[in-house]
Amino acid sequence: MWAFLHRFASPPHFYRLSGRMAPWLGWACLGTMLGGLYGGLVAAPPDYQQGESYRIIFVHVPSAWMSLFIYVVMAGASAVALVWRMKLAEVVAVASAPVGASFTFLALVTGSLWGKPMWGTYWVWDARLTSELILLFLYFGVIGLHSAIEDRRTASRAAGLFAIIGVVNIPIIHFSVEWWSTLHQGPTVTKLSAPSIHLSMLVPLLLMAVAFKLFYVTVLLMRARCEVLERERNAGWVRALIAREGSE
Amino acid sequence: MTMPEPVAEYFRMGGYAFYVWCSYAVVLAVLAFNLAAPALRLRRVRRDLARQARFTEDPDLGQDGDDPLDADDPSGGLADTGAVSRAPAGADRRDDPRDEPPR
Repeated sequence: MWAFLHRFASPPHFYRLSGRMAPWLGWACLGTMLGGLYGGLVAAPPDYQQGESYRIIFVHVPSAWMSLFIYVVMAGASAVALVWRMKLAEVVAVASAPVGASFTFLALVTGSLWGKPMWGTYWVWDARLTSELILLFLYFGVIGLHSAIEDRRTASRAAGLFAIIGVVNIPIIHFSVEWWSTLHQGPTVTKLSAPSIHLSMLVPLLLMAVAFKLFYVTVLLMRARCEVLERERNAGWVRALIAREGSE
Repeated sequence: MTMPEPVAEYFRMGGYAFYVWCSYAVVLAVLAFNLAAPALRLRRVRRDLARQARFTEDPDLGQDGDDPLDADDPSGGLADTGAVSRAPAGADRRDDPRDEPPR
């Protein structure tokens, strides 16, 4: 197991393997997403209270889930990088930030597009919305801090520490709808009792969630490959790779 | 352009067309950008590396003696053997901000 992990984590193996895996994950993502979109936009019935506007849920909720999930992955990878000095963990952390920021942005934009017809306003400064906005700024902080420092390893360490400190915001976002009174509704799927959402809506919602997760892994691998190639630009295997391609 | 009534009705989304379709359009645009940015970046990195390889004739070139498990050696990717050749590639990257994706 450790031997396998070590082998996988070595840059040349990672580069080769991820190049082979990314397209498959991408196609799996596309398939799941088409299924989820059909289920959400065509097959699911309109909501009895919100009519057709609720269909935003199928992109809003998975985006919001991903914004939290990716942050936890990023902070976890940063912690691994800080403790074990593992290069690939640094790469995963750096490569996660832009995708996470994208999903946070999507959760905010689709949320306000949903809020306008339902709450009568695009934005309110309540707990859930504000803490999610702070999450977006945390992502910007990680990205900015990393790109402000020339040396890659120092940059990773600084951005990683910042990411780990930012984890305090994650439970705040999750529990914000219970701790404070807010316009945002409470959890309907991730609660302990049975989810209070009908199956015809739950299935496309979960399909979209899986699709977004696959999307994240695909983009993560693509970004990580760039990062690995740039970091290892003077290593023998990169030069051999480029030479092999040049001669073809 | 006229659409059959049920189709037009569908796209009207019960009066919420603007909000629903805007949401999906934004999602599509952001996801597309996320796919395009690393793809373009990978192509640019490889082009830079290939150009750099042409400038620096290296006796090591093509020798596959590098043990992959050894890639973690302290001098690893940060060895300054390529300091001279790395500088122009880096400088040229900064001159060309067109497709620089956020890191």
